[in-house]
Amino acid sequence: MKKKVQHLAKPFFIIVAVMVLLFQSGCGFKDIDKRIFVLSIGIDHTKSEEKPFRVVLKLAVPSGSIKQSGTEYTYLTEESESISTAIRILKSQTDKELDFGHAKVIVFGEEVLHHELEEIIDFFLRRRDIQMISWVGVGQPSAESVLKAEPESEMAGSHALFNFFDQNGVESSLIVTSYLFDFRRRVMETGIDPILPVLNTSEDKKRIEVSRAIVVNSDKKPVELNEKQATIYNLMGNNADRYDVRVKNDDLNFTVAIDTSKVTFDINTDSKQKPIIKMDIEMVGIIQEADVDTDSSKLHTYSEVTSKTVKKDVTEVLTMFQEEGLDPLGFGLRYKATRLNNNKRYEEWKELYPKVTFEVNAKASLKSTGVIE
Amino acid sequence: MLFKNRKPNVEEELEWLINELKPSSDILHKPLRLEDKQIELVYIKSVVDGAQLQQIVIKPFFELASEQHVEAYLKSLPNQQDVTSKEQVLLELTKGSVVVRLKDELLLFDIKKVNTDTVRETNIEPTIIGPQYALSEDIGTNLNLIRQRYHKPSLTVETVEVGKKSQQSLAIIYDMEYVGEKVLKQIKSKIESLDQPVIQSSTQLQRFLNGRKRSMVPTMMMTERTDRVVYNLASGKVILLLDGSPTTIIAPAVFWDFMTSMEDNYGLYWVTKFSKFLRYLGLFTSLILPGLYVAATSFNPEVFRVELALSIAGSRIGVPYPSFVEVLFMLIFMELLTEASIRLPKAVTGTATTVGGLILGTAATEAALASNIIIIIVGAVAISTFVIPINEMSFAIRLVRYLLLFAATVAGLAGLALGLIGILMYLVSRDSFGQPYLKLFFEKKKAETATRVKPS
Repeated sequence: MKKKVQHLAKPFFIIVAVMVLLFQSGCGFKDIDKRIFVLSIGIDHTKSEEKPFRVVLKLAVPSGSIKQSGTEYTYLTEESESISTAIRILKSQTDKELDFGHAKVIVFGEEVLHHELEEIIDFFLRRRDIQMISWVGVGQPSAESVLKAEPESEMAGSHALFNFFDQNGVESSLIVTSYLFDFRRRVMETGIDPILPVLNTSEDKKRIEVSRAIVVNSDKKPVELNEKQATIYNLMGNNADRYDVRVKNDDLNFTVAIDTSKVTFDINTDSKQKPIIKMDIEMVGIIQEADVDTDSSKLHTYSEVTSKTVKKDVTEVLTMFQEEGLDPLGFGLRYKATRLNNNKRYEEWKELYPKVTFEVNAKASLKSTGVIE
Repeated sequence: MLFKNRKPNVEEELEWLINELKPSSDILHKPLRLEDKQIELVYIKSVVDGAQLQQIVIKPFFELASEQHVEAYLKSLPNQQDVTSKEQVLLELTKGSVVVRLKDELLLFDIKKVNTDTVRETNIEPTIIGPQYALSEDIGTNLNLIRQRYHKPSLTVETVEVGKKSQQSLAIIYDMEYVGEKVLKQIKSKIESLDQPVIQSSTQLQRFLNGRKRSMVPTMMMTERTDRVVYNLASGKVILLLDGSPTTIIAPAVFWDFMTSMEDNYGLYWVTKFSKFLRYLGLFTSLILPGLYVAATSFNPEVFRVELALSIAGSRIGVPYPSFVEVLFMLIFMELLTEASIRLPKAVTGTATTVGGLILGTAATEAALASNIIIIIVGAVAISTFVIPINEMSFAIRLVRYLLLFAATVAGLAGLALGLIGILMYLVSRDSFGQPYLKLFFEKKKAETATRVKPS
């Protein structure tokens, strides 16, 4: 009889052990209601030398019925000597685990851009829970004001800032998007300059506008691109297919909506004195708005006029980049990449770039006048 | 085969038979005599069809002129059986045969009364199109049903007895032309080495033939559909048919067989492809969804969209226990519900589902014992489990699900992935009578079948 009990003891012990273990949760185990999600991170620069960084976190507070009450946001702010110390202090201010898994927008204040960019983005690159596909932008007047803005169109559970950048929400040719991984690449690599969208908030914090961009160059001051330049940058970088061309001629005034476009460029340095960048632009679209009666038999003429306008616009922007010494499209990188390495290709390019002439070859084909006759 | 050479033994044999069966009250020993004609009948009343006995044996006996006529008549009857030994005669008697002593001979006639030969409608694997009748519980009727669907001279039916005590007949059916010889040999030797006193259901037989004491997935397929039986006969498989069981077993069976419905052969190409896709989708949902929920809520909430994360977080407000306890709680209740609806009489099943499904589900969320999302998940899991066409496989999947849930509880999404790999490894390691269990079929069906053709 005694033996039988002993025989049963082992499986019994195992079962009890499994049951007990099952109800213990490990350290990786943290329930979702014990976490609080950081949706966006803002970094501003304070004037003080001791605590130069001001870190703002936008947190989503989930509620039981999202449909009725919507998601509420709360903010944590801390000034510190480095971003990580700021976040360590912020952790002590919440009752839940800060989860950066959904922190998909990182906004820098304009002042921060004057610092060493490598140093600032280092924190975001090292943390494993901040995803490399986060979007990076510049906040105006400050990162904090952008984070704290709650546009009226913002719906429950969907963060407005995300909708600006992912292509699920708005699709606009004005919005320049920059992923964290791409931003890092542009910061580290020579021959291509980082470009960031500018997020602008109104005074009452009810509106966010993303229509401009900033090109950062480690040697020089950041240069802001206006709406038109940002659109043309998007076109040239193949970021956006859509593009509106405003054609202004003596007798013809119309706007063309481009829906597909393809841009390629080629660097020709056969002559060291007169290097050429050839850019081919192919676009297809329709006339969207015109102040004269359009005639579908004249589509060919309209196309030619459009091509000319595009050529002029693009050349203007390219020349502006050249004059400012900016290279957000990566001409330098292309030059380095397509030539045998001799360790001084970038120096060569820096000499060549100011001498470059641009040959833009635009070919717009209009499919329709947009009206049925 | 008749007892011609052992004339003096006939009296003894008969005596022995009666003695063996003696204590039973339903044993009948009836001598018939008219003028110079004389026969003796021995049979068990309860298994013999009395009316038929009267019709084919007793009545002609009194009508025929002489004993020669009676002998000639009896020996011409189609339901006469061979007599090999007295033990065999005894066994046949218990099955419903009648022993007739004619002069110095014992003749054996099969005049069974079978009450289980009604052919039932398909119950376990119903389909919309295709045959609607399944099998009966009588082996003779079942053999008839199969033979009627498969007219081929090479169709072979071998009968053996299984169960040391119950001595049930088991038919091994195969198409001589296509059957895999190795498989057949293996099955036969396994059946011979069976050592069970009573085998009552073909599924039970399957467990004994399995070879492994503990097994998670079925390696033989149970079916009640005659069209599936014929389909598998034609592709060279072996069918086992146990007397008294309305289902057959098909061997060998690979994993994909269990995901096939017979309707796949009858419907339109794209329609059946779609329903097949749905079935595999159901398989995966029912497998991974509980584990995925635990992994996504407690380990890796960043994997899914932020909206989903927030809504899960919102619906978990006030839930006192960690996610895996919540999932386990709801899953167990769902299983209890399924289990209950199988066992309950049909009239009460409706109540069980209403009380269990509706009231329990709503109340659990109202009381904040479970989140809304988990109710959706448990519902989805329950439905998708039922999509798997073969019952045994869906029961197996029900079990495997908990292993994945455990893996996800321990290590999140990584654990879930590892658990899936582990299950894959287990499936790959299994085989069904020499056929790899997770075999991928690259060739056309014809080529796969043709490899089994015997050289003869």
